Parts: sequence; structure tokens; C-alpha cells
Amino acid sequence: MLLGDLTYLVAETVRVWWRLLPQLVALYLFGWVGSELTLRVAVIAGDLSPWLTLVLFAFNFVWVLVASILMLSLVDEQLGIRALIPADESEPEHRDTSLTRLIAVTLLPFLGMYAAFGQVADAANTLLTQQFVRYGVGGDTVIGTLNRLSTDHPLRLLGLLIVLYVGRRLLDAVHERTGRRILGLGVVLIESFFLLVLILGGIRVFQQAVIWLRGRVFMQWLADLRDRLAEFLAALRIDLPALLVAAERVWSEVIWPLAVDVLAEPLLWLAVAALVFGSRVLSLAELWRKGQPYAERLRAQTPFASRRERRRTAAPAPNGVRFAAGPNAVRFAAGQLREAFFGDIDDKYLPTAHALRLVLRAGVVFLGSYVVLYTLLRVGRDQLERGIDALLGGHEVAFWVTWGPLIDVVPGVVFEPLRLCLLAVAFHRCLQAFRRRSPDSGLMAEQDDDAGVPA
Amino acid sequence: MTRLRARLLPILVAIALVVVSAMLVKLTETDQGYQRVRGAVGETVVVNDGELTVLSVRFGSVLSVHGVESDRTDGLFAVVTVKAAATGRRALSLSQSRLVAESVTFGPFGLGSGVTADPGFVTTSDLVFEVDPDRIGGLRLELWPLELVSGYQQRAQLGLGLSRDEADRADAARGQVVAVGETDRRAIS
Repeated sequence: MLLGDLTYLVAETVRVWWRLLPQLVALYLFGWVGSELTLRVAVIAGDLSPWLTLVLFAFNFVWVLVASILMLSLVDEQLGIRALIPADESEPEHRDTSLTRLIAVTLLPFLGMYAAFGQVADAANTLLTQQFVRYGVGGDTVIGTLNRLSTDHPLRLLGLLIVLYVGRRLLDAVHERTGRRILGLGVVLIESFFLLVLILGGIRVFQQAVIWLRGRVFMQWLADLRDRLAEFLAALRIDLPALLVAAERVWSEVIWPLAVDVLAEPLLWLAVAALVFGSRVLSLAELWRKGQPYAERLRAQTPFASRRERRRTAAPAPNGVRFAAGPNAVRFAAGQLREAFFGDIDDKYLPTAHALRLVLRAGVVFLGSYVVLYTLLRVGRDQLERGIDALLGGHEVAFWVTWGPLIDVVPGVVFEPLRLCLLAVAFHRCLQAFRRRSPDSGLMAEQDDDAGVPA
Repeated sequence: MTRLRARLLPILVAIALVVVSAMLVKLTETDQGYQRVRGAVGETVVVNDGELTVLSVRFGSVLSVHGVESDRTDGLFAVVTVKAAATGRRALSLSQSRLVAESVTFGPFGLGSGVTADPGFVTTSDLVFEVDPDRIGGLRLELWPLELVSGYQQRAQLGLGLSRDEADRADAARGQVVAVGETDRRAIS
């Protein structure tokens, strides 16, 4: 009984994967081809400017993300995740279903995770290798350009980020007003570049700040304090330095790798996948989790509602003007600016945190089962990659530069669709669990259990 | 008691599942990014379009280059003579080397640390290592190409066949002079 989640996740993931395999493989290859072509163009664009390379490098991740979103949506249709929303709740939600909206919401966590778990570094290495082949050692590289900007010119980095952010907001506004798709593509392009610069440049600035902090007198005070504490504990026959070294070793060799590789990665990906299914699904899951019947739900009151929805349903100010409480035009402009800034953060970045909070409440056994399966897929992919390497044998770099991308696609074609199926099935299971816990949906929960997963 | 068990059991199961995941990751981790090409003294192996053979291993504690004493050691110098033939269309370049014993690794002594041969040529070179005579059991020579960016490479691992008697022979070489020859280069016949 305790391993019911495990067997469910295995059976459903394999079933959905097998049923959708041709479509999933086609979508994966679509993302792969787009990403590889963008990277190749990015290398050639280095002839013009390393910044152009950087823009295109950022855009290559958008291809991967679009393919992932499309695959998750396909699995969503198969599982009927959105069908779990009751009929009287499922009003048309244009923003939630548009691809550009989904990309905007998922781009930050997606790129953040790609950076945190090494995929951005891997892609940068691939680009670096191609650049070495084209320009030789010493040419301008993506990471080198960003490093120089963040270490030598942090103010320029800040200025660039502000310009990108404002530019993206303006283009976004024009896109919403005109509805022209080409503008949506421009928004995504700027957003991906903005986030990549923010994440990679931000990491470098943070490292610089840590180095600067280590050189301060304040740190010496802390060291003195530690030494005095060590002397005091030595009198009690406690070896503080040895204890600190042992604690540091346990932390860096056991706890941190375990926390990042085994726990953080699968849970964060589940949260990102949850975002793809839309704020309506997440809102409902949140209400089910809290045991509130959906019928009593106040629209636009959940953390997943967009800021615009919340503003629309909030009571207006007595004079009917919300952000211009007085005749002062400056205050009005400030209000608009604040709204533009926080509205953007609310709509695009906070849902990730809420989605993570939501999936963490799905139950410990479920999360444990999901984590073990995610790890199995990861290990399986690694083993397949090693198997292919062993089959092909060792070669010099020229061979891998030529054939590497084509060889890498094999484990990707097998395991990436499987991983996305697992994410969708796991989120579906979350929804079912929340629904069962909701007191007013007992009947529906029983029906759902009986019916299993809608085909 | 039952309520406590009902609360505790899922947590224990979840912890067990996470521990299984961690063990899976740890047990399958490997940092070996190369293919081993194994051989022994006198045996020719094929590496990167070329052929490699360890001809001999000599020991001594005084190094002689061109008949002139160049270095001394409290341990031992191991001089490994290696023949490299570039039988393919490209040059054979295995510029990185090391000696690996059961419990310790010895880096090359001096600058000449690898073997190279142009296409159609065979070279014979002496590679010098400074080793600890008490820890040379199971000694093997490893040679691989130096690449700024590399993929899954080939690495030659050639056992030097140091049995107990051989180790004794190495030990007996303490204080003796061992000569390092010049690299010999000739066309493949």
C-alpha cells in the first residue's frame, strides 16, 4: 500500500510514454534541431560580435523549453490533467494557454535550473569547443565576455539588465496590444538573453562579493572569535578545528550533493512542469490542498491568479482611481511604474515559488517514490551515454566535435520524453491526492479513482 | 501507538526511498572519461591510428644523459623505452604520461614526458620517472594525448610486469647509473 505511488508512477509513465512515443520523439527532435542550428549560427555570429553569440546562445535554450512545453502539453492531454478542472470553472483562459505566456512563466525557473544543474555550463562548453575549432585559442567566448563584464564593469552589467528589462516590458506591452506573433518572439528572445545575463552575470558578481568580503577586517574579527572559542573548547578537551573540518566534509561530500542531485533537482523540475499546466490547474490544486471546495472558491484569490485578474476583482478605491490617489501626476506615474514592475514579478516569477510549495505538500511517500524514479531515469541516461561511449571507443576531439551532437541525441530521445512523462504523471498524481483530501469532492474523487486515468 | 506508527511509517518509507536514490547516484558515479587500451612489456597495442610498444624498463639512482651524469635521487629512476609507430594517416601524439603503482602515481621526470611520431615513421624514446622503490608493485605506464578540449579518449595502460623478483631487481639497482638514450626516428619499413 505504501508503495502504491511507486507502482502507479512506473505503470503510468511507461504507458503514456509508449502510447505517445512517436509524437514525443518528433517534438524532442524539433527542439534538438532548433537548438543545434541556433548554436551553429551563434558560433558563426561570433565573426560579428561575441554579444550576438550570447543572444543566440540564450535563444538555443528557448528551443529546448518550447519542445519541453509542447511535450508536457501532449502528455497533459493524454492524462487529462486540465480535464480535472470542473466544467463550471473551466472558463476560457487565453493567457494561460498561449505558448508565449507559458514560455514567459517557465523561462526563469527553466534557465535557473539549467544553470544550477550544469546544463548551461555544458552548452557553453559545447559552444566554446566550436569556437576553438573556428577561431583557435584566445578568441572571445560567451563565458569570457560575461565574466569580463561582471568583474570589470559591474555597473555596465546593471545598466544592460535595466535596458533589457525595460525594453522587454515595452515590447511586451506592444505585443499584448497588437497581438502580433513576431513581437512575441522578440519578447522571448530578449527575455532569454536578459535571464541568462542575470543568472550567469549575477553568479559572477556574487563570487566577487564573497571574495571582497573575505578581505574585510570584519572577517578577521570572526576568525579571532572562532580561535577564542576553540581555545575555550580545548580546555574542555573538544577539538573545534577538527570538528569544523569533519562537519565541512560531511556537508560538502554527503549532505549538499545529496540535497542538490537527489532532492532539489527532481522537486524543482516537478514545480516547473506544474507551471506548464497553467495557473487554473495550480489554483485548483491549491484549493484542494487546503480542503476548500472549488465551488466556494473566490476567483482570482489564489497565489496563481495573475496580478491583472486580482486587480480586476479587487474592490475599487472610493474615487474609482487606484493608483492616482491625488491629482499628482508624479504619484500616478510612480504607481504605474510600481504596477508594471511588481505586476511582472507577480505574474512571471512568483508562480514558480508557489508551484514548488504546492508540490512539496503532496505527501512524503509520493515525493520519495517520485524522487527514486527520477533518479533511476537520470542514472539510466548516464549509463546509456557511457554504453554508447564504450561502443564507439575512445577518439580524439575532432571526432567528438563532428559527431558528438548526433551521438548525444540518442540518450536524449529515449530518456527526455520518459522524464517529461514522469513529471506529468507525478503532477497528475499530486492533483488526485489533493482532490481526495478535499472534503467536498469525495464523490468526484471516487469516480476519479475508479476511472483511473482518462484516456 | 498505532497512530504514531501510522504517522512514522510513511516518513520512514520516504527516507528509505531517498536513501536508495542517493545510493544509486553514488554507486554509478565514475570519473573515468577514457577507454583503457591495455597491454604489457613487449606487446604492441593500437592507439589513435598508431601502434605502441614498451620495449624495456630499467632502473637506477643516477641518471646519465649523453654519457653525462645529470641527476641523482634517493629513490630510483625508472627509464621506460617506448616505441611509437604512426601507422595511420595522422601523426601519433601521446604527450601525457605517468607511472601508476598499486597505491601511488608517479609523474614524469623532466620535460620529455610522452611519445610522438609523424605519419609513416616510428620513434623510440626513453621516458624517465622518479619512483619510490618501496612502492612499485604492479607498476604500469599510462600514455594519452593532450587535448585542450577532449571527448572520450583512448588511454594506453601498459603493465610493466614488476613481479616480486623484478621489484628485487629494481631494488638492486640503487646506486647504479641508468642511461637515457636519444629519441630514434626512422621510417616504418
